[in-house]
Amino acid sequence: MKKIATLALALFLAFGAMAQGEVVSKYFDQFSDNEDFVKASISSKMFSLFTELEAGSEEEQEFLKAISKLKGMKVLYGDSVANSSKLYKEGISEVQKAGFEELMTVLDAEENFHFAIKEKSGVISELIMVSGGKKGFAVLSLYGEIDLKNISKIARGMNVQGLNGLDKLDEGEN
Amino acid sequence: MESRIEQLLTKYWAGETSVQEEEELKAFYIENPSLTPTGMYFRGLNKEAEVVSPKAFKKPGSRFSRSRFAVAATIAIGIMVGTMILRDTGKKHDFEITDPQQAYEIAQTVLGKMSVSLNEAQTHSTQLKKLSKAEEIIKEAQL
Repeated sequence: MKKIATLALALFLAFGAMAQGEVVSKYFDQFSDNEDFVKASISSKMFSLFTELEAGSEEEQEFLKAISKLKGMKVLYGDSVANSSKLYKEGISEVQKAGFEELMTVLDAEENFHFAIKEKSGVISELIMVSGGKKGFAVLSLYGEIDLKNISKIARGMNVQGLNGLDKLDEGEN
Repeated sequence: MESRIEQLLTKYWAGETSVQEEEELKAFYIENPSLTPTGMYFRGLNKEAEVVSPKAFKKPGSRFSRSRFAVAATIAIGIMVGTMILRDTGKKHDFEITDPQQAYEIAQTVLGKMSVSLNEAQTHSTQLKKLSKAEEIIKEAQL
């Protein structure tokens, strides 16, 4: 009986680990051959490499602190998508179906975005952001142990306006 | 009676008694306690028979079926986990970033974008609260 309980627990943990980033994975499947989208996945091994980096500036310190407990990241982004508003609505629906809890939604003339989290015992295990503009659409997922305060601090030291920097990925591996 | 018991004892030591005859011998020595080695021997057999196992008896068949269930469950779970791992591994390799420098830049860009959006959402939230407070003040002034 103990063996069965142990197996059940192992299965539960395996399901839990694989469920992380599942919403973005669905989009990876859906748009795997669509070159309008940039797709990227960063593994826990890569994040563990980042923790060995020595921070130079205060901004880098903030950034490394924010990512210190992350286990992975998945991104799907397109800046020239014809049906972006439809994708945005579908994205929110997918997030809700996957059992995420809405954190906040901003409806803006330029860009709408929706934040949702998976939380257990006060610890956020996954943060997902779905954004949709006039032509752009993005789904970003972070998983691991997430501290929203640390993430919100990153922007203070960085000049980030959007995800345009990801475009160069097209010329690289993808 | 004595001769009957003697006959039975002769058969018993020769290993020729039936179960009923052995029960008869045991019953005789319980009813007629004697300090002879034969009497003590048969009473000892009765005492041994009264000993109860501290563990409940389980049919070998049921134990076997439970172990079969455990094996079947293990195989089923193994197949499910294996399938999921193989499927997931295939997906990971499609878009996984293997260059640390590139991964670092992507992480910076994505977290930066999330950070900006989170702050923007908080600003909107603060503005809404201020607006709501202003509405309350106006309503109070009108009253």
